[in-house]
Amino acid sequence: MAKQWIAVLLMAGAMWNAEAVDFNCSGRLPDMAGVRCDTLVGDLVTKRFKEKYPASTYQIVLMADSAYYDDGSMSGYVLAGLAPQAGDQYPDDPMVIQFREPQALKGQALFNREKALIRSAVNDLMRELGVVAMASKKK
Amino acid sequence: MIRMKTSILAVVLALASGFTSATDYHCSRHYGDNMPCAQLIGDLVPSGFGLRFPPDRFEIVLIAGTGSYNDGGATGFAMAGVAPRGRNMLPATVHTEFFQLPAPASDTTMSEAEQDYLRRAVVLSLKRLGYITHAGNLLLDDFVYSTETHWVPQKKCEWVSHDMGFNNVAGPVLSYSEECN
Repeated sequence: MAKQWIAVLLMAGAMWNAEAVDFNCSGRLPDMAGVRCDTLVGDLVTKRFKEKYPASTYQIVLMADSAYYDDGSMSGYVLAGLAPQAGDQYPDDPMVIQFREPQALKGQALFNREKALIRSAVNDLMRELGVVAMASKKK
Repeated sequence: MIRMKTSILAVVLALASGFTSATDYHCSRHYGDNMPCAQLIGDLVPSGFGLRFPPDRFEIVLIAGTGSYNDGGATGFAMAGVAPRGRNMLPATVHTEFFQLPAPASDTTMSEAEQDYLRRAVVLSLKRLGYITHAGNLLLDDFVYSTETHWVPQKKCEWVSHDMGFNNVAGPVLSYSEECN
């Protein structure tokens, strides 16, 4: 009886894991400490992407950084691309968005700016890879 | 005895020539334009570099991008670091240079800025590893805004970043951790 329960628990665990890891994502995001990739862009990763680029083989790589200048302005970039799941690799043909601000953004304002641009880059990536969500049928 | 000395000399010379031939380097560029690495940074890589980082095992990685705006200005970034060769690896320690160009920024000026800042990033990256050439020293005389970031994976998706800030002066050590999927 105990063995049966263990088997059931193992199966449940396997199913839970299979549900949790439906895409991989890693990031180098110095201005976004502690942010989780899946919460950052998870809602933008389409089902078609997950089917075409399985989590066992691929990952989405996100990068972002920014710098301040003496005149009070700033600039930065965000990058989103597809790379092999193994290792800390750079993506081959990423979506890169650069930005500048006449007044330096810091803290939450910078976080929000980079977040918006990263999400935009991931949307572009889905389009570039041809895995955008299918339009729903009109009733 | 003379024959033995000759043999020893031959071995020493062979070893020396072997080391000399190892003073090459490999470099790969990503994004940005496609000027060959040797042409871009050849004068910045000292001859001893290949001894410690053999070109069959390591590569200097250059990553750059520029973008222009409706008002005619432009901005860009340039990164450099050393990584294992042939695995498309992001360098664990990256020097990143940012630049802005006032209007009118042409393709030519953007390309020139990208090259210039890539060179600066390479100089800082190699300097940190203990290598600097005369040409590199001349570049360092200019004011350079640079961030040096160490990415040290602790576990999956956990890392430590050490931002060096202005002129390579140590800034705060920042730790980031992220639980991955």
